[in-house]
Amino acid sequence: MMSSYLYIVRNRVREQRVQRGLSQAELAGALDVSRQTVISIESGRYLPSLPLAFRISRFFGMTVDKMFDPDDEVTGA
Amino acid sequence: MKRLSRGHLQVPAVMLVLGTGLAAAVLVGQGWRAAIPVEIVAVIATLGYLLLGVLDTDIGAIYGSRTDERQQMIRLRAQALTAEITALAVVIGYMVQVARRAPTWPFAIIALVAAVSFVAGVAIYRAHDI
Repeated sequence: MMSSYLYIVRNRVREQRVQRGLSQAELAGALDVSRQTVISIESGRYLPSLPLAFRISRFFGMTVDKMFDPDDEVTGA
Repeated sequence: MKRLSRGHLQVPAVMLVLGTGLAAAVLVGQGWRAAIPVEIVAVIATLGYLLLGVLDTDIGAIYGSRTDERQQMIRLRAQALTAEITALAVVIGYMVQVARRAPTWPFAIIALVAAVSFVAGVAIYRAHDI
């Protein structure tokens, strides 16, 4: 059954991008997604698909569970 | 601003062809005075679609046929909403026609096509498990 909850899983995309001195557009180009999607992922509004989550994690040399921490999951109506 | 791609040109090309086809139908049925505004609207709509497609926004990506996974989801949801509202409009149109004792068959055909499309969609896409 589909949950009526909104899931926002916090991630380290913005932190890692800033550390590497990349712009959102540059990261978007490297991941082959739009700049708007990078913005949505960074803000936690959009949960990427599993393949994209792996692409992001590999790009930053991290594991998926380090990049997207399920313990930081926020739920709400 | 984004560059035009081949995929970006397909939908506007279809819009222009269908709009011109509609203008031709109006020309045959009602003459050139009625057909010219239809063709003008078709050309303006096509140009508008092309211009929106080069914007560096979600709408630009959708109109420009260069969506990523998130924008595909947005487009799917928008299409689902469009279909639901269209179905509601068809039902309301059908009821109005019944009340007016006017022909209901155009609305009945659209409702039938929508129902068959939905069943076909479920049959096709459940096999793909997307």
